[in-house]
Amino acid sequence: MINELYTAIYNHFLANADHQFAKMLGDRFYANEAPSGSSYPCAVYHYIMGVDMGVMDGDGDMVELQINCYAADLTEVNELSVACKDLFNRATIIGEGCEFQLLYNLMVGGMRQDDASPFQSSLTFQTLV
Amino acid sequence: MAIAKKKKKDVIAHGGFQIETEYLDGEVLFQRLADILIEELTPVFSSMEEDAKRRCPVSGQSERFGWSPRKSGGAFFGFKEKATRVKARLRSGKFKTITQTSLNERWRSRSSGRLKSSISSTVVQRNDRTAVLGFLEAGNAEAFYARWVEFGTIKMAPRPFLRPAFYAHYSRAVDACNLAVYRWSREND
Repeated sequence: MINELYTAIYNHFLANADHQFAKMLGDRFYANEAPSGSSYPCAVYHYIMGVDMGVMDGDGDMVELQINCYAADLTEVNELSVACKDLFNRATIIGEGCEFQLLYNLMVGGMRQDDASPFQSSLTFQTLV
Repeated sequence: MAIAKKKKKDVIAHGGFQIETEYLDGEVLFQRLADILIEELTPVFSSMEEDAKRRCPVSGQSERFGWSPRKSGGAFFGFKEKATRVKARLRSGKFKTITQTSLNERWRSRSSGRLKSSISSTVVQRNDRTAVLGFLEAGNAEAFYARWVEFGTIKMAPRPFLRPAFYAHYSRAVDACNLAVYRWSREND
């Protein structure tokens, strides 16, 4: 499931090579963890969880995907997160009718561990599969 | 009136964060209904809290203690080093009594759990009395790294503990809402 999702996300990224998000990143779109010493801007996508919602009959699993955007300055990380939202929000990536919806875009104001760290923005998407 | 209408996460002070959910959002929520709802939702949120604590990663690694300009902005952290007074020979050939720390005492295991103990939940009625709010939150001044653990950083993949706990009990929260409305309607029959 995780591998399928990761492949689908990367394929969606490759299929939209002319999109602003892909133009800003180049090939710096990584699964799970960024390689050490990677340059900025870059983005990392993570599978967060798959939960059986079970609220009503017929409800499937809810899959949550997180994309972390990193950039050296605040303006750039904001631009990157807007482009990321544009590319992935309401995108059908893993099957018919499974539309990803942006749940929240956190820390667009910039979150840094220390002065040496990049600015970070985390976008979380959900879909029912 | 909507059940679990809005769901959002806000960054709160000290780098922590919370999941806030509105239940039975309406024009005016009857006081009795709100009371029943709080009564039904409180155990669900307590379960979420327990679940989040169970999922919360607790570090078992050791940390160096003593003075660190890098960590804590130069503050002293951990345990005190074992200091002994020894006679040291200076370059000039003279002897001077100095304080030396024992290398064997430089590493100690860390009794952590700061993040785990910072997890809390509350169910309250909103000030304007139009909804009941449920909060599940983590992080405080000590566990300032809560959102880095939950959301990850450039050097570390996320290890979510709050969100899975919230969604694992999501259907129970919706059931609690339905039950509260049912109980309230029975009382008014």
